[in-house]
Amino acid sequence: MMNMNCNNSSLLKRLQEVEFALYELTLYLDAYPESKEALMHYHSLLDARRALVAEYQAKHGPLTMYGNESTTSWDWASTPWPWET
Amino acid sequence: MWIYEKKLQFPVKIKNPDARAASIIVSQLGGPDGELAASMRYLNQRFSMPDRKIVGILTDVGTEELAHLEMVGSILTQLTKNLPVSEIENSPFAQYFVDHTAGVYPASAAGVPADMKYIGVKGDVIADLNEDLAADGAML
Repeated sequence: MMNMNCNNSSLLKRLQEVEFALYELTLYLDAYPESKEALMHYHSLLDARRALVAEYQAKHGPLTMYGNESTTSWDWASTPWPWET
Repeated sequence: MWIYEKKLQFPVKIKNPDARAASIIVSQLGGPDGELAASMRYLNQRFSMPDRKIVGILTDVGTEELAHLEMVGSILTQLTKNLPVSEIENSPFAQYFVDHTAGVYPASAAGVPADMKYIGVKGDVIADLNEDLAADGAML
């Protein structure tokens, strides 16, 4: 049974932090694609994101429409929406 | 195409409803320089940009504005949740409420529905980026 309290999850907070940093790096790399340092940070955070997404989806259900890992139930629309408190 | 991620870009957790705040913050959703106008500005200007790097930035910034749009909608939803009628009646939110109740409707704080006449898309890189600077400053 999935944890329905995903909005209070520290895992979610960590994912938000990593994706926030990844977004900023993406914008930086769009403008400065030759920056090896930025590309290195990007890949390091990408690895962190991959692990966090796998852990998050296993505990709280799909993060995207491609993340419904269960073959027996459709969870995408039934887990809480992000604005629910 | 776009893929939705079922999370907010930044957490929104409002404990106390506030009708007056909602009546002001709605402009960030559907006002002239709100997130809807910003996302439409960038995502449509992309097509005529002469440089792939600029298209990349406009794509990614425009997508981020859609995430901001969802955050502002979440703020409005939480600010107006379980509001007592008396608090609505005695606030500037009353005029909005009469047409939309607590639904999230893109309009300015003055009640003007969101309109794309606010945005500039000229098919010219200098004109469009100058428009973005004036409207948002995010392109700096």
